[in-house]
Amino acid sequence: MAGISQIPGVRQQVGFIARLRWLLFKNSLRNIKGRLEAVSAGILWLMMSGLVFGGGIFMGIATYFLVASGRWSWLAGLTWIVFLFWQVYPIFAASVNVQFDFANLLRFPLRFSSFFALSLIYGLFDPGAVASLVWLFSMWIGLSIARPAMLGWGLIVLLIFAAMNLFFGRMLLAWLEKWLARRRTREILGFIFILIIISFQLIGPTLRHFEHHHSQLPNGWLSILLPVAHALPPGLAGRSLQFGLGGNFLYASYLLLFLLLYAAMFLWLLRVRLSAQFRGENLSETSAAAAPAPVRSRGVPSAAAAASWKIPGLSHSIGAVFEKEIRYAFRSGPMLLTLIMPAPLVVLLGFTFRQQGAFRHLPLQMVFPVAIAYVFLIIQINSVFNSFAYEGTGIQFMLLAPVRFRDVLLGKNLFVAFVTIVETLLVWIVVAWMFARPSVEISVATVAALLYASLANFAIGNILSVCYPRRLEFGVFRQKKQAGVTMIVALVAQAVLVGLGGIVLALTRSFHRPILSVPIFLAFAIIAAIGYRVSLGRLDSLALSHREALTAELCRAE
Amino acid sequence: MSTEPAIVTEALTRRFGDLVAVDQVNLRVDAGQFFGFLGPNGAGKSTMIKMLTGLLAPSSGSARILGLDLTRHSVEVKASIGVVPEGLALFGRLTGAEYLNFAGRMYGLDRETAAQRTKELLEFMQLADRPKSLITDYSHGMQKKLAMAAAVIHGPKILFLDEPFEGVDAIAAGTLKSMLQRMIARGATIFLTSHVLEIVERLCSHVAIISKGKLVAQGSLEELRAGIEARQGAAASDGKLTLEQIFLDIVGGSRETERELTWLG
Repeated sequence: MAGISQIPGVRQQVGFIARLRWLLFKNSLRNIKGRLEAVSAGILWLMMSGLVFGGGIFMGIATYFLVASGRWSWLAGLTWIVFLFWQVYPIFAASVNVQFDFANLLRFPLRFSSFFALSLIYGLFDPGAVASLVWLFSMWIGLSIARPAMLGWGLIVLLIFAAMNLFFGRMLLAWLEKWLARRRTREILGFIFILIIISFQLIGPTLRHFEHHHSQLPNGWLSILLPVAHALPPGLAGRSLQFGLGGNFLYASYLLLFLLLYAAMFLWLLRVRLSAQFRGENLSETSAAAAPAPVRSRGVPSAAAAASWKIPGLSHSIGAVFEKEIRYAFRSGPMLLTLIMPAPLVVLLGFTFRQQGAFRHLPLQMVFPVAIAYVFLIIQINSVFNSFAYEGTGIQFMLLAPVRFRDVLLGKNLFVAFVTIVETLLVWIVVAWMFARPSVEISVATVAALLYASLANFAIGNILSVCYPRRLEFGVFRQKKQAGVTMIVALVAQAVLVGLGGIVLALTRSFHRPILSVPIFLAFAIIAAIGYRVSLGRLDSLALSHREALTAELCRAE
Repeated sequence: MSTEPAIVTEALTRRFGDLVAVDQVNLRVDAGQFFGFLGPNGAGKSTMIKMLTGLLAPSSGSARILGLDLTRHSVEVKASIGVVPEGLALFGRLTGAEYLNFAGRMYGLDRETAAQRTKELLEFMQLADRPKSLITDYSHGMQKKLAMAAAVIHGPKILFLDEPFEGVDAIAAGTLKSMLQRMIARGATIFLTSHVLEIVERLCSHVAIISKGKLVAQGSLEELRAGIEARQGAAASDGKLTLEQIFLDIVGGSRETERELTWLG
């Protein structure tokens, strides 16, 4: 065709993309929000460079001393640190930053080599990779100063190790992207992610457990873990350096060969994924929907089966919202997990702490209120302050339907209250079974405290939900968190509510009259109920004045 | 039938900062009309429909729906209208049947009526084959049909549709048109925006055209046609003007293309 010159080469195409990124950044500075984000990114970069260079100095010095003092086998520890940071950082960064999807560039006549090179270059400029490369460079400097003869070998090993990290990281993200493109896999991974976050709470008790039994268990674990660690890439790199330092270059080369094989395998897996992307695969949900779903029956279920629930005492609209909330909770693994995990966690933590005698200083009667405070925080922080997070375009329906907005939020609050009640009952049973049956006074006082704290939370949460909505997606990590105002207000509110409850219970208990806390909490509950009623009354006008912000935020395309 | 117009706006205006998206629009839609609201991209169609359905507050002016002031009687107005907005207003984590039941209940239907209408609507819209599928897994056309079903479940007197045929295949479009014609036959008023002028021409009895926020034409197709023919004289009288010709004439979309983009070949 007239006017078409040759398709640009790889270097030119990469140059175009670099210019595109620059233009995207420059244009993002046009509004105040963009400028503020650039400033915060700059501050983050400054902090990050402190970590990078501080870490680099540490790595260099540590390598020098390990080599100089003959503790060569410990070098693998340093390569493991580099590996974990390089691989874990992008996953956490992806959970807070919106990433540039360079697969969008495939509409242009991009060569596969350019596409492949872009993926690797993008990986190379990832902050985690930059930091890791600086650390590896520092290790090489430390190694070369301590043992100048290792300058060449060290360079080869660390370069191959860096390449392996680059290929592995890109390969992992490329495959994750494929899996996360489907709703179901996204939710399964989200489920696992939350389980991992929850399991962090068990690290402390587990470590204390090892402290008590350090003579047996750690050795047992080490005998299993060490051979595995040695066979994995960071272990191979560290041991190749170790055997090189010992002069056994034959064995060091043998280990390096395995490291190379790992790198080649990751490169191949990355190529498989990227060539599928390059050929133009469609990962959208609609493609999954296009496939005919297994049809169980040709018609719809009978009218009776399809009818909504009959919830006595609730109006049409409040009952419908309550039912919708329950259905939504059961349709999202991560959401369901957040709601049902508190009671099992109380069991788990209870066992661990009891074994360690951690409750020595806590009167048994106080275990129930403490457990309830924990449950309250987990459930309500996640579900009260950004009530419309998962509505998406459904918020338009709420605004178009002939219902008062207070009814919508009342339905949502009732759902959270229902979950809180069920969890409270479960926790009472757990505590009675594991520790001691909570006394009537403590049980009633705790429930009264829960009542006042929940009402106060609902009053604050409803207003924040309408004024500072933030769209979230089930099981999607690349998204913004709650609005800053919401996070601050929610944290302060929890600190005040739980703190106040704790003080009242502790004071009345110190006078041996825990029952006195009941009227105090009930008085608080009355004040909170008035506040709740006032806030409900304001919600209709508040929703009306914030309807544009609500729809703009919750209906925006991802 | 009531003589009260279905929709009346007086100097309805909406500003976004310096931009006047809808500027002093006086619109009248009589009950029972199939009304097409047309305009080029960015002319103010969606802003107008959002204001008429209560999704957006006007900067000034007023709107009366079925004789009721939209600001003062928003709940009563909402109970009488059905809306398929731009974003479709769906809850992705519900099944089609659950969503329609939910919509019915929110519009005040009792459980049995909501369930019965849900069943009928799913069958009519040919969505009954996948009772267990979540809406998020529906195709775009299926979602559009479901949004339409939810908008009519309570039997609204006025139906507002923002681009109802966009991204919809011929089969789904046929189903939607069939439903709309039933509603018109029953005496309902339909107010739709669309870029597909052929569909508007075939379905609508009356149209209004908005350009750069201002209402530039309003009336039945015959009235608009007659106006242009009177202005252009014999030149236009060779054949019946299509809606596209009317639209381009009013909006001023015709252009000299001979010398443009010659490199395209």
